[in-house]
Amino acid sequence: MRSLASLSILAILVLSFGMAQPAWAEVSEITVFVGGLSCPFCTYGVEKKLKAVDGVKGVKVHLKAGTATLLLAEGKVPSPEEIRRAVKKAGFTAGKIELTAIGTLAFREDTYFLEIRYADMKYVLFKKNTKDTHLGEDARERFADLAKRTAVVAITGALHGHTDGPSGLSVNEIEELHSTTLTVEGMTDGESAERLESLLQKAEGVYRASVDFAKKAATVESIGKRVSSSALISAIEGAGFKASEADGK
Amino acid sequence: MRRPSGFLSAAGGIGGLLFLTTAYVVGTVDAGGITTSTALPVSEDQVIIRGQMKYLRSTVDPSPMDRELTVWAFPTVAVYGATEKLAIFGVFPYMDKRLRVNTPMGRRTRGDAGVGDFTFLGRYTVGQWDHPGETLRLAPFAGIETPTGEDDEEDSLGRLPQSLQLGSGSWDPIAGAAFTWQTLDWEFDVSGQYKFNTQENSFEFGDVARLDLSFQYRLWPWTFEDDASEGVPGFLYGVVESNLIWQDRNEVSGSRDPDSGGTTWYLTPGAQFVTRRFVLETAVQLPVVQELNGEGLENDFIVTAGFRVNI
Repeated sequence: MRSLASLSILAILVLSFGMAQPAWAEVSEITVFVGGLSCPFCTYGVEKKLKAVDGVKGVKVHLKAGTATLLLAEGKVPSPEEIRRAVKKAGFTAGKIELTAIGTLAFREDTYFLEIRYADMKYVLFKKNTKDTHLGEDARERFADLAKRTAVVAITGALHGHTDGPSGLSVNEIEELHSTTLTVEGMTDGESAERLESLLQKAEGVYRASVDFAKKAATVESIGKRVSSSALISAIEGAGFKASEADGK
Repeated sequence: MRRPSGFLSAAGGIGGLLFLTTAYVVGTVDAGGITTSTALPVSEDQVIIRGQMKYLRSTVDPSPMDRELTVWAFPTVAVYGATEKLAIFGVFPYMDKRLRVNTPMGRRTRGDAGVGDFTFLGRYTVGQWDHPGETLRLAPFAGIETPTGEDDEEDSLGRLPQSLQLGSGSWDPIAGAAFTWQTLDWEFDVSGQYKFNTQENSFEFGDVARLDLSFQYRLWPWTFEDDASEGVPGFLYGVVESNLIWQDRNEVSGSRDPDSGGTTWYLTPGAQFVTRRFVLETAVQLPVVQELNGEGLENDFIVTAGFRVNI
């Protein structure tokens, strides 16, 4: 009995560590359209105000496009109200707010939700450019298939705030997330693993790369199109390591 | 009280010009015109500093005194965004005024150098129309010029004429408004301003009214295609401005000085280089029309060079 209790506690601990939030936020960028922004000198105030929003670790303004892209800190997503307030305090007008979020689809009460991976948050999903939860027949078929498979998806859309419920996303684009795991030999320490992770992160088509030194494994995620294993193996071997697909090929 | 004798009143006809070196830097802190006020926003809690060097020369003298006036002015302007609509300006000038003039004792140079009158203003945005890559703004402003500059300096010839003093000695209210229309390619500013000069030392400078226009056109990059303009590139603007300035006659112990006041119209070409952090600019004001009263000393030109920086 005592050993069963110990095993249960151990299982809970293992599960907890397994579910611990990784170093990446699953909503990593938000783009806000800023009305009135028409000269370089004015962008400084916009950058400063947006960077002061909780959860924002960096801001890139694109003057021609009239946008500010917010790079987010781990696990923190500012609300659209906070973003609009920051743009207003900078002296300008916030327009559309767009983001890409990663998660799985859930269907409840005739509404699709995107449950953000590794975070306790979700978005209501709307039809493109609307706040209508009826997505249209074609979209519902695709969404139903993805939800059934509990596929991990990346949704890009316009963010809408909500004072007494989850925020909503008008879906512009939805793509499946693909994952490839490779076995890597030749890493000598954590530093070499970090170096390899950094290299893979820059490879074309890679959304996220993570390298586990202890498990000798590199996992690469891509959105929409799977990155070819041979290209990844080639990149890893170019860095001085040996790699093979996780099933031994 | 009789009018002061010739050489002592030599500076009377240049009173308005001397105070232009500080009065018209007010409100022009944000990227906008060089000699024109703008209605562009200052973010809440944002600080902008502007430093300028101005050089004024006036040598066209209709009187027999052969007056030559040179003024170096170094106004520093600090602006603070109290809110996104309310900006507070402080103008802190340092000046060096020198007048060479024929006197019964020979040719003399009179003048002084030091801190001038500080000006404080508030500007509030009452109209804001924002679109992608474009904005229109309307902002009235009001404030006061304070008597911080020395107004009772003397030299070997006695008390300096009031126009050569660094300060007026009086508290002088200012009111005006600015309108700005800015796109990614150009900017247009128009501003009107009135300064109510009050009396001190039995002397009252004439009120000053001005109407300023500014047009800035982006010269570089000439085209603004996406692949050449990632992020926030620097802009080089060609600038042309117009300054129409009217000053009423000065009053000396209640009598109006006939050799003071008048109307001047400047055309002002210039250039600005604008980045997200700083602005570098230069302009020269060339008097196209000078209708000065009596024997007022006419201005040759005013050169301005300066910078602005986002803190």
